[in-house]
Amino acid sequence: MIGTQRKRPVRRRRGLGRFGAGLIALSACAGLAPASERASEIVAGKVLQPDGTWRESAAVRLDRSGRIASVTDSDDQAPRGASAGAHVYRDAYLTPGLIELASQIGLAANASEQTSPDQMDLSAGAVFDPFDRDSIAALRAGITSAMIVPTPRAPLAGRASVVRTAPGEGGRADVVKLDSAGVFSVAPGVTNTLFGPTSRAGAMGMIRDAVGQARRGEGDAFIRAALGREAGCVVIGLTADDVFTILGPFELAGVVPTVVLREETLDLALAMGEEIAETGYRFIVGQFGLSDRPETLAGPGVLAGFGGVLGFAGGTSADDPDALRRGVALATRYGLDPAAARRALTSDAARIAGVADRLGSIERGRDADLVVWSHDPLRPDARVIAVYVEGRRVYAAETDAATIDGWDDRAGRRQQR
Amino acid sequence: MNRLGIIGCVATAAFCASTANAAPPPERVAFTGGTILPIVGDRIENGTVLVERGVIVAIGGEVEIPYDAFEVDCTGLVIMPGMIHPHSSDGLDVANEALPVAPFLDVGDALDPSALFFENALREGITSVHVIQANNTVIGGVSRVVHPIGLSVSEMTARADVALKLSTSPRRGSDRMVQMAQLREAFLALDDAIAKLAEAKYEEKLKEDEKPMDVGPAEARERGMALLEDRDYDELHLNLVRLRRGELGAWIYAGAAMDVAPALRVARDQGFHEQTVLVIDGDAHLAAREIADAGVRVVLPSQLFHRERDPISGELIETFVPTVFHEAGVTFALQPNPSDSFAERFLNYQAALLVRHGVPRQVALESITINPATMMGMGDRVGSLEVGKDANILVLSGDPLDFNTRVESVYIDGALAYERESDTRLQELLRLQRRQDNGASGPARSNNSNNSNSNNNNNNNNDDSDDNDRARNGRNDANNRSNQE
Amino acid sequence: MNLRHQIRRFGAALACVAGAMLATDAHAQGQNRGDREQTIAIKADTVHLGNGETIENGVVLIVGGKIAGVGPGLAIPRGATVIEVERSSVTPGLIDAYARLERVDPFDAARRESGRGRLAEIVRRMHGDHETGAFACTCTGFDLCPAGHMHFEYEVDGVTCPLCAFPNHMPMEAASGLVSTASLTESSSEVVAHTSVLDSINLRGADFDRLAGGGVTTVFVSPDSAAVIGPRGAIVRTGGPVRGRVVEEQSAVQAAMNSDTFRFGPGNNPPFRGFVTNQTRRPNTRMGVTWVFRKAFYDSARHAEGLPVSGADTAPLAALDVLHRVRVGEVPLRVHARQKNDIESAFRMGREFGLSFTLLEATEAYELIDLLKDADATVVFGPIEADPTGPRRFTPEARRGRLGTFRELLDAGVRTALTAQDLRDENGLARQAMYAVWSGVSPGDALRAVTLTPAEILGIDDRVGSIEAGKDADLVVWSGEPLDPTSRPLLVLINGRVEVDRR
Repeated sequence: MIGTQRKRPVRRRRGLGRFGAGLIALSACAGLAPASERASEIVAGKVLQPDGTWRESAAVRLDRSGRIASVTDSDDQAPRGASAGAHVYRDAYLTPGLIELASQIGLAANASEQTSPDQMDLSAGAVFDPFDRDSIAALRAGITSAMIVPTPRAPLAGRASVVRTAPGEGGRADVVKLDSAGVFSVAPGVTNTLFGPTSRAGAMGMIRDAVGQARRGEGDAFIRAALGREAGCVVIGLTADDVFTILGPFELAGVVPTVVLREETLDLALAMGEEIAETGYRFIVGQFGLSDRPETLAGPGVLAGFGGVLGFAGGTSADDPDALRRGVALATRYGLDPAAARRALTSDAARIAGVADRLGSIERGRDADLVVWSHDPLRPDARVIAVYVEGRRVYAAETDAATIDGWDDRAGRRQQR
Repeated sequence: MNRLGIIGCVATAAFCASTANAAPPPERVAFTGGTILPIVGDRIENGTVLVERGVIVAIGGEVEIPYDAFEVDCTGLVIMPGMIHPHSSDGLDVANEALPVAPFLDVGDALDPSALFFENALREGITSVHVIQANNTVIGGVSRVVHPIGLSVSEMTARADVALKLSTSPRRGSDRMVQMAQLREAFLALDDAIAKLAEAKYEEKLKEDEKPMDVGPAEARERGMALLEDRDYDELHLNLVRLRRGELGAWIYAGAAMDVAPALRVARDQGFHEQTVLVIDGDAHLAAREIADAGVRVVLPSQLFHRERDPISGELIETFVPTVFHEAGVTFALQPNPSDSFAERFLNYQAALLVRHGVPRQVALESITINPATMMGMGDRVGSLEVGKDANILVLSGDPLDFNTRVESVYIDGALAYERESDTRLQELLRLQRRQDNGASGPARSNNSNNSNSNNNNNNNNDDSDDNDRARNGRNDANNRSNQE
Repeated sequence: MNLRHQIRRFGAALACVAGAMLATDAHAQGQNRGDREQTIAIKADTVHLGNGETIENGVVLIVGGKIAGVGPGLAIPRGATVIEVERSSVTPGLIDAYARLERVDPFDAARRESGRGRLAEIVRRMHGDHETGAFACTCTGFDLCPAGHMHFEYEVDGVTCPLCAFPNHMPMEAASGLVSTASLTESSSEVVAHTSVLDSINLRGADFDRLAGGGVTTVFVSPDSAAVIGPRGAIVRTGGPVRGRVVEEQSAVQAAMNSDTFRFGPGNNPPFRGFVTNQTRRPNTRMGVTWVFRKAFYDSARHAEGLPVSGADTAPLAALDVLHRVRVGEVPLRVHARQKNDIESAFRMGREFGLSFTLLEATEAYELIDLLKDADATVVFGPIEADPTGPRRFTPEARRGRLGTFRELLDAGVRTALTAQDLRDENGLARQAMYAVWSGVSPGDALRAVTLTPAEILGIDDRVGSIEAGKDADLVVWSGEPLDPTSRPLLVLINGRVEVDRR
C-alpha cells in the first residue's frame, strides 16, 4: 500500500544539509539554478523572541550549516568590516518561519486512503509535493514549514509529517520529520458504509482497541511510539463532544494528545477549564475566516487564557496565501493575546509539531528559517520582505523572486531539465 | 383519534340507538347535588341546575325543584357547560374546494352526521362544534354550529349561517400576492355587481311605474341601492353582502405574523371588523400586540407551542402561544390537537396545559367554553350555565382540568346525549381492563350490572364488525386527510 | 485575571455569550464545592417516596448531595437552605430505563458546511415555510432516518414529519458529532456488543436538558435497533457537571428481536459474490434475525472454549467475548421486541441459551400476559400513545397497541417500568405515568413505574429511584401533584444540586 502511495523517495535532510556549499556546487553542475549564498548575519529592527514578544534591533548570526549561532543586540555588534553575508533590514520585523499545522499543503488529493479503517501505515510526508502551487505560495507568504496530516477518512487516519514548504537540494521534498504524530479522528468523514465503522461508537471502538493494544505493548509499533515520547498523537473531532469522547482512551493511557478542533473551541475551553493548563493540552485550531461566528473566533483566546498551547490550521493555498495569518489575526481580534498569537505561529506550533529543537524560534542552534516582515505579521497590512530557509534567501520581495532549487520562478513551475 | 377509532368495533348505529330509541325527554330536568362550574359566575357547591324544555331556568344553591322534574343526582360529580370546538373541518367530506373564492358554499351540504369525529367529540365532552371550511381557501363557504349528535344535518344544527372562512395566507400552490389579489378582486367584483344590480333594479322600478329614465347612471345606482333586497342577489354575492352587513362572521386564517396585518386591513376596509375572528398559526403570535389593538379575537393553533430556531445561534426558541395572547389581553379559544400525543386531543387537557404554563384557571376554562361561544355569535345561548341558555351540560367525574376526570354524561338541550355507562366503544377500548379488573379501583371502573349487556352487544355486533371496521377505517382516513387541510 | 481581561476585549455581544457561560460555569463549580457541607431542606405538601408511599406535609433533608432523612415533622437543622413552595409535591427524580436520544439535529447539521448540511438547510427552510402556513413539506428520511437514507417527500400541509414528527415533536439537539450515515448503533456488523453507545452520544446535548426539564434525572441511553445485537447502553444523569454524569459506562447489551434491523438498518441486501459488507448485511427477514442471534451466542460459546468460529455472519471476536459474559450472567441483556411473535422469539432464544433479559417496548404484550408471567419477565413498556411518532409511526404493531396493557402487566405481577423513549417535556415520562392512571392504574403504582421500578431494573436502586435516607438527592419539586396536567417540575435537583429552577 505504501509502495503505491510513495511518489519519490524520502530522505532525511539533516546531515546532507550541512555540506551546504559543496552540494550547491553539485546541484549547480547538475543544471539547476544556483541557490543563493547563505547569509552570515541578518539584522532587523525587531526580532521575535521565543516568548512571542519583540526585541529591539538585533543581529542574528548564522553558522555555515545554516543554523543560528547567536542573537545579539545589533548596536554592540556594529558590523565590523560589514561582511558580504550580512543582510540588514533596519525597520523590518524578523520572525522565525511560520508553521502551519494540520495543513494540506502539497498533498493534493493524495492523502486519503479509504481501503480500510486502519491507515496508520501511511505517512502524509511520503506524498508531499514541494512544487505544488500551494506550497510555493505558502513559502512566499512566510510559511516555511507545515505539519501535514492525512485527510481523516478513517478513525486511524495515518501519520502526520513535518515538511518544509521549500524543496531541499535537488528539488527533493524537505521532510523535517516524517512520522511526527499518529492521527486519530472521529470527525464525520471517518464513517464508511462499505468497510465500517458506521457510527462514532464504532470509530471509538477501533481507537480504544488500538490504544489499548499499544498500552499492552501489542499491535502497531508506530502507535506504541506515538503513545510514547517518540512521536505524538493528534486527535480530530468536529465538535467539542467528539473531542471529549476521543480523549477518553488516551486519558486511560496517560497520554495527552494534540486536539484538532475548528468550531466548538469555546465550548471545549469552557468545559475543560483549568484542566487544560494542568494537563498541558495542546490545540490546533482554525482555519478561521471572516464569515466565522464570534463564538468560534473567541475560542482560541479562551483556550490560551486557560493555559492551552495553541497552533493554527490555516488552510493556506495558492488562491489564498494569507489565510493562516488572517485566521490568527481574527482570533487576536476576538481576545487571543498577541504574544500568544505569535507563539502559535512559531514556537508553540513547533512544539506541537514535535520539531521545537529545530524550528520555530530564533535561538542558538535552531535552523535559520527566518522571515522578514514590513510590520508585525499579525497586522493585515504586513508584507513579506524576504524569506530565509537554513540561512539562504529563498524569496525576496524586491525582485518578487523565489530562489529555490529546481524552481523556475519566472515560469511559475518546476524547472525543466 | 385513531386509537379510539380503530379499536372500537361497535356500530355507530347501536350507539345512536341509545338516544334515538329513548322516550321523549322529560320537560323539566333538575341536576342536583353536584359542584357547578357555571364559567360565568362563581362555583356553586351542592347546587342545582333546573332545565325546562331544553333551556336553563334556574341555577343556584337553593333552587326549588318542581314536583314533575326528572331529577339527575350529581352528588360527588361536577357540572359544567359543554365544551366547544371552535374550528373544525372534520366531519366534512372535503375540507376545501378547489375554487379559491366560493362564498356561496354551505358546509351543511358536506357534513357527515355519522362521522366518527362527532361521536368522539361527544365522548370527550364537546357539545358544540363549529364546522367551518379549512384554511386552504381565499373565501370559503358559510359555516354552521352543530351538536355532535343527530342523524341528519338539520337535526344536528344549532345555528346555521355562522361565518365565512377567509384566508390571507396563500393557498397551496399560490403565493401571497395572488392570494391578496384574489381577495381584493372578490370584493371589487362584489361592488361592481351590486352597482350593476342597483342600476338595473332602478330601471326595472321605473319600468314598473312606467316612468322614463329621469337621472344619470350614478344617481340611478344610488336610488337602486335602496331598493335592493336579498333575493335580488345571486348566490355568488349574497353571502358577501351579508358579511358586510354584519349578519355573518368573518373567520380569517392568518398562518403567519405577516398575514395578520392584511387580515385586519381587509376586515376594516370591508366593514366586518366587528365580527372578525382570526384563526392563527405559525408565528402569528408575534403580532399579538396588533391583534390586541384591533380588538379582534383569535382561535389558537392546536399545537400550543411554537418552536423555531434562532437563525444565528441555532438555539431552539420555544413559545407557549396562549401565554402571549393572555398577556396581550386578547380573547382566545382553544382547539383540540388530534394529531399529537394521546392527551392533546382532549380539549380540557389543552386547557390544563394553559394552567401549567401560568395562565389563570378561569381564563383557561373560558377559552374552551364561553370564548368560542361568543366568537360564534352564540354567547347568549351556549358556553356557560346561566338562566336562559341552552341546557348543554356536562356531568364530569371530577375537575375538568384533571386528566383522569371522565365525562359521565352529556346533556344537549336538556336531553341525555351521552352516557359513559352505555358507551360500548369506550368499554371496548378498556375491555382488557374490565376482564382483569374485578371492580377494584380506578376511575375507569365500570358498572358491573352493565357488563353482561354490553358484552352481548359486542357479540351481536361482532358479525358485521369487520365490515364496519373497514368502512370506518376508510372514513377515518378521510377524516385524517381533512384534518390535515 | 488575565482571562477576564481578554474577555473584556471580545466586544459587547460576545462578552455576553462567553462571559455568561464562564460565569455559570464558575458558579456551578463553586456550588459543587459547597455541596459537601450544604444542607437543604425541602418542605412540601406531599412527598411521594417512589415506592408507592406518600407522606403529607413532609420534609426531605439533603446533606452533601445525599438524602439524610425524610418524614412528616423532621426538624430542620440550623443553617439549612429551606426550599418551600406552596401546594407543591416532591417525587424522586424520574428514571427512564429506555431513553432514546436523537442522533443528530438537522439544524445543527445545517451549520456545518457539508453537502448534507446544505440539504438540512433546505429542510429547515421547508419547515420554516410550514410554520408560515404557506405550504409544508415532509421529510421522511434524511439525517433522521435510522437508515441514513436521504430522500424527501412533499406532502400536503398539516402533516407532521413521520420520522421526527416535526413540528409536533421537535428533533432534539445533537446526540452525536457524526453527521454522515449517522446511527447511534454501529452497524458494520450485526453483532457489535463490543461497542458502547456512550461513544456516540453528546452528553452536552440539549436533549438532556429537556429530559431534566421534564423531571427525568437518570436515563438508560439506549442504542437504536439497527443491529441484531447492538452496543452496550449507558446509564447517565441528565444534569450536573458533565464529567460526573455517567453512572454506568458499560451497561446492558441491547439486542433487537424485530424487523427494525432490516427495515431501518443501512440497506440490508443479500450479499453477492461472497462479499459481505454492511451494505450487503444479512439478515433481511425475521428468520435471519434469529439466526444471527443464535449464531452469535453459539459462536461465543465456541470462542470461549478456544474453538474457531467461521462463516459469513461471524461476529467480531471482541463482541463474542462480551456475549460470553452475557451468557454467564456478568453482563445484563435487553431485548427490544414489539410484536407478539418477536416477543415469543425473544423468549425462545432466551430459553435456548439460558439467558434472562429485560424486554423492551413490548407493544403487543397484552397478547402474551401468561407467557410473561410464567417467564417471570421484566418489561420496560411504552410509550403509551395514540398516534405514534418517529419511526414507530410506520410500524403496524404500534397501531395495535392497547391502552390497558400496562395495567394488565402490573395486575399479572410482571415487573414493569414505563418509558417515554424519545418523547420529551409535555409528552415525556410524567405523562406516561399520567396515561397509566387514566387506564386505571393507581397513581402510586404509576409513579413507581417511572422511579423505583426502573431503578431496580437497571440495578441502581441502591443509589436512586426513591426518597430514602442514604440515596442520592435526585428530586423533583412539582407545582402540584406530579401526575396532574396542570403542574410541572418547578425544581429538579440532581445530587442535591438544583439543575432546573422554574420558580
